[in-house]
Amino acid sequence: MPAPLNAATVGPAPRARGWRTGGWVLIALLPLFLCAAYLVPFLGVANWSITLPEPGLGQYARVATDPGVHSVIWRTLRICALVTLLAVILAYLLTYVWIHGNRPMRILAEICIIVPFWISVLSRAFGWLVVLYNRGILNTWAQDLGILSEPLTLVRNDVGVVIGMVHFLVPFAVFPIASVMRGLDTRVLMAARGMGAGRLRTFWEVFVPMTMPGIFGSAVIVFVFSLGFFVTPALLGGGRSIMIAEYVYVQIFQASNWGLAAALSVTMIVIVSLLLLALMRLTRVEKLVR
Amino acid sequence: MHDDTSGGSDARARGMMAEATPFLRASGIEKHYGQTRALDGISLDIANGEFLTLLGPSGSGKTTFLMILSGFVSASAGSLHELGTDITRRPPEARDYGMVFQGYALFPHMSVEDNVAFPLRVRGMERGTRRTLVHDMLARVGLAAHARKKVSQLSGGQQQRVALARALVFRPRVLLLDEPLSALDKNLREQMQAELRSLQRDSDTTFVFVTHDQAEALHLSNRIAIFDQGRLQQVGSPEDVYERPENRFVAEFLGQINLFPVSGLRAEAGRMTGAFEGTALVAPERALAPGAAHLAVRPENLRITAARPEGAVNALQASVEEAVYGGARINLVLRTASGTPVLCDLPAGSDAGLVTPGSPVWLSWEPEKCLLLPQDA
Repeated sequence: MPAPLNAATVGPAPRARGWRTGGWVLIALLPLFLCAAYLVPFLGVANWSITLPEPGLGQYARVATDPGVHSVIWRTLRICALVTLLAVILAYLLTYVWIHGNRPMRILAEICIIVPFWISVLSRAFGWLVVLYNRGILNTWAQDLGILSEPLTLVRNDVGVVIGMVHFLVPFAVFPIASVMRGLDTRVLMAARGMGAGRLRTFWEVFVPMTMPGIFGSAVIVFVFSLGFFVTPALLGGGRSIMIAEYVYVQIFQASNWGLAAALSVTMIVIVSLLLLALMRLTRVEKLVR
Repeated sequence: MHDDTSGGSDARARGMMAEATPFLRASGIEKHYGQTRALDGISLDIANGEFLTLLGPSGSGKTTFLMILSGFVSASAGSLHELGTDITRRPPEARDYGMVFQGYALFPHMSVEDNVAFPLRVRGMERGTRRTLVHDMLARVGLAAHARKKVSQLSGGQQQRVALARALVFRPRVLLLDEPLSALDKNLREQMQAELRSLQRDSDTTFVFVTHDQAEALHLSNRIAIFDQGRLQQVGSPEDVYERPENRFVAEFLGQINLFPVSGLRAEAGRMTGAFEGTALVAPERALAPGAAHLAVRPENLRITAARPEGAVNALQASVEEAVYGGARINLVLRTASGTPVLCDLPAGSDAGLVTPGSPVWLSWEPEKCLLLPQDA
């Protein structure tokens, strides 16, 4: 029997195999950790939602019918939608400067994007409190300069919550947009100009549509992230503008209604999962993080 | 109907008269990037309706020059005039030139017809007229059936046609093309070359075409401008630049050529004689700096014989080193007695007995079939 090429003597390159098994170990570490730290506790929470105070779907019925719960959910969705809109617009402009601006502008944009990552969410919330409250920097200066006759109420309401959240989320919104803008073939923009389109038209009819996947990905990430916000709304909302995470906290630590808190948590997880699933269906996620 | 066929020749006739009022005139164009000079004093007139090719190796400045014509890159020095009007600082959208980019630069978020309609929409043309023009144009490039597809669903050749249709649909006076065929395979490239030529003929548009492919340049152009190291080396018809290269770069860049260093040049009765390895060689006279030069002869202009041909002015003894069969032609590598390699390109079947490796032969050529090139460069 002819043996044109002996597989045993040629064989695969030995390194490839070792790398493959090593690769699996590297990939498996994170899922294992996530299972232990998130999945198992989550199953416990899911269990509470159908067993506390007594077994059954009573807590879910309350989530579905209680007007108080509904108003919190609606406020959360409303604030998050507004925050998403503002954060994505600001991030888009910032990213545009970061990628297409001249050198000093680029550095400035980079500072605006990177520095917030180094400052804790607590410091930032308190920082905004100092700026925004009735006798804060903004109101005092505006009154001293005669721009305002009486202070604007900027905290302990939705306005403060939105400002604080947008500030926190803009850097996160930047990256999906940046990866799309960076990958954009600038010759396409040149082509539009060459065919007679001015700068503004090229921006609206070519640049914006072509960066839509980035805008979309950024919006989903910001929206999903914002749904779970706790510290910023708690501090800047001052207990008046309550969002879902704070409501869950109150149910556990003040109302001792663990079952309702658990049912709300499960509901939120389901909503977020559905949103992420839709994102994966509509765009290729790996493109957004390159 | 009656003037349809004369449109192209009119354009060429106008091109001939361009000496008086150049359609496009570039004068002393320079482009500096820091210390490097991408373009170093380019002066070139472009005639209305001609097919001009900018040819050169990569980094020669040909694309930079095209970008300056388009307005996307501004010149560091020099000026650009269109029919006498200074357009050096005119932005690209105001120049009204069509452009086909390397990689096509189609709008990926639009359908084929929307891509082609874009320049018309920008010009505020109303929907009905726009549709007619777009569909006429798509039919002309053979894409009528693909109008509603997304550009990503098309093959490379089809995308190329969309790019052409989009660049021509608004009837620009000038179409600038940056290596548009380089991504296509050989057969498709040849087909597109033919289409480009006929589009140019029918559209009465001036084409300025950038390529590094010398065969493409020779096939397509009315005139070729050869670039190297940011300088214009020679401008002329394909025949001019191939048959009468002005310097060594042009001679070697277009096709293959044998260069024999000759010394002690003397002029005599319209011819010049110089010595190469002890043999006198004769070429048409040419104004040259005194001293040594190169005598250049194309491989296809050499003849091979067993004995020295009677009355031959230029003849060298050589031996065949290698013979490569190439279908219609046979390519030979020979060596002269002192070891200088010589390339020879013969029609297949001619003098078959002589083209076996090792056989001693005589190389000869007419003085009119060779030329002298300055030594430097």
